[in-house]
Amino acid sequence: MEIITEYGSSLLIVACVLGFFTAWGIGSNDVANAMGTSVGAKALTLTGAILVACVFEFAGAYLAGGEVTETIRKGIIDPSLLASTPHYLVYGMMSSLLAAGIWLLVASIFGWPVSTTHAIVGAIVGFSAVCIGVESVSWGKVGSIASSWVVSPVLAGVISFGIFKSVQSLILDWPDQFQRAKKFIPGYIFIVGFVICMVTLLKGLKHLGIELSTPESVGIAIAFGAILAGIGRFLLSYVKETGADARQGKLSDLERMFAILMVFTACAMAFAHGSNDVANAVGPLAAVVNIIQSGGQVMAQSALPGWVLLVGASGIVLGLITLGYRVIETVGRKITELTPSRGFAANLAAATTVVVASGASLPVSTTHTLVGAVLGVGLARGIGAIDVRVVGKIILSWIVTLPAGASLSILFFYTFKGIFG
Amino acid sequence: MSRGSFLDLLAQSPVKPMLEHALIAGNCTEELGVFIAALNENDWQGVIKSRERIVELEHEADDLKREIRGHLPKSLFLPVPRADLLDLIRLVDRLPNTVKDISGLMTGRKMQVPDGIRASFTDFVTKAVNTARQASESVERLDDLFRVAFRGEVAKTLVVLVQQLDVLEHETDEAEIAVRSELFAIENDITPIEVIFLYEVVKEIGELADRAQQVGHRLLMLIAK
Repeated sequence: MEIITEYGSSLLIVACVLGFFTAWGIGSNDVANAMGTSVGAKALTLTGAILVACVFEFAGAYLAGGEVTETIRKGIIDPSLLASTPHYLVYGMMSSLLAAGIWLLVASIFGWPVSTTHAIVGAIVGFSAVCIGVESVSWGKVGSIASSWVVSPVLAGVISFGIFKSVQSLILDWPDQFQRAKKFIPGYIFIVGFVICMVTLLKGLKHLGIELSTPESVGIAIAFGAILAGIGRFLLSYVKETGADARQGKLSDLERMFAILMVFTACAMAFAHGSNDVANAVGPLAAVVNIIQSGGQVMAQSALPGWVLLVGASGIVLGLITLGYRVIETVGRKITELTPSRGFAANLAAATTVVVASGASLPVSTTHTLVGAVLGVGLARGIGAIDVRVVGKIILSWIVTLPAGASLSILFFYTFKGIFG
Repeated sequence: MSRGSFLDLLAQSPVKPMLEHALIAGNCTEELGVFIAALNENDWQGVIKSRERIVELEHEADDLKREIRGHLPKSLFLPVPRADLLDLIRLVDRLPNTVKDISGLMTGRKMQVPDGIRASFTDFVTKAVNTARQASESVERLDDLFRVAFRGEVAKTLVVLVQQLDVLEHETDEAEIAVRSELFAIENDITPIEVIFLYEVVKEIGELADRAQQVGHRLLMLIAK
């Protein structure tokens, strides 16, 4: 207790800096995954992508990021064992932020496809199991998180497979693809709006003091989806048949319409990413803030302070502006194979899966979900060539990240303990 | 500095180089028409020039074939079986090979088409070349097939193209029979060696059309369920 009262404000500042830094890392690196497809598919310009990402990452983090943040903050560790030593939880959470940050830096240098989510969860489980006690880990919750890491890519794959097959049946199979696309694309835009709005209304807005009943939420979500579909219809009316050909290096008329759809799915992707990944930075910070503000009460039932989400959301946006654009540019240049008609299916499937995971307070990996979504389109025969070796590489870094995050956080925990006592 | 992205999953699609390969194969077979025309006009310089062009295109097709194979490692997951694509490339590549053999034989032996069969021989060559062109143009639909994921209207169009290919091949067969019977009628007027090689050339030209037809049928297997 004395440590909390004595060093409280300086610990708080350090935790804020670490949380902000991690959010910056998420913004500068992970967001590229969410936005790169749209830039690569020429659905958005680089500036457009940055703008969309800033607005929707922020909105996702602030409006729908609360649930996952709660999981990271107090779902993985059972704090009852720490009632007499609340400062251990503070050290642990700070160590976890530092561990994830360092591990991601290492991964960036070597180009490993590492997930922030895995690093932070591995770090928290690591320090609590080793430094506090195996029984301090809520293994049930950890188990459901771990299974969501398997389920989310599979689910995204199934959804993207279905979406692409529906695009085939409704549009691609027909001789009048252009007219049919104009007719059906607003329907997909409706789904984007409905899903995002629905999950946010049902799960996200509690910390803002807004509580809606389910029928109210459904009504609002339908209205929101319809408005978006209307906007989409309006934008689509500007696409004229030019006979442009992919062989001339341009998007075909059909793909230009899917590019409009992809702007919407890109927004959804950014929103979903913000809603799930902000927690990686903000969850540990929220735990620290909670303990210090309550003067060392680990069991205090305080609500998640809104400003904590703001710290994370601004960190992500700053990361985007300072470094993210370069990553998006690199990623965007790499893609010529994922045209908007495929890219949107992958984006929509991944965004839906991630947003639902956010609503279910499960921290998942956006990257892995996107991998599953791309494979789903591939299985529907939608992608020219997929390099299966990359999947193995991703699974390997998945497995390595957990012990790596854990070892680093254990190391930092004992360091903090050595410094502050 | 970037962590690997899920977009690393996307490998280079074999479609574009395959289209290019088919285009080169088509151009090479078309050149056979030019070659025979020059031969008929006794334009020996034109014959040599045309022969050089055929050899050049055949080389290009060969190089491209090897490059495509190099970009299709076993670790790739493709929308159609990898073996089917590799086989299709092999079959397409036989078209310029056949043209090279025909032009090589005729140039090397300084062959002349006898006046008595010239008209039907030229007709036969034109039909064989048309058949081969139909095949290479069908392969150029691969682009659309990949784009719509191998079914629907585009797949139906391909079936029609291959049906037309069958008709063209059949017409070539009939033209071959006509040339053979005319050649048989005059074979006592020319030297036996010339006769042997004329039959050989006729056989090769007929095979060009046969091979073109095989390309079409291989292509259909990509959309077969």
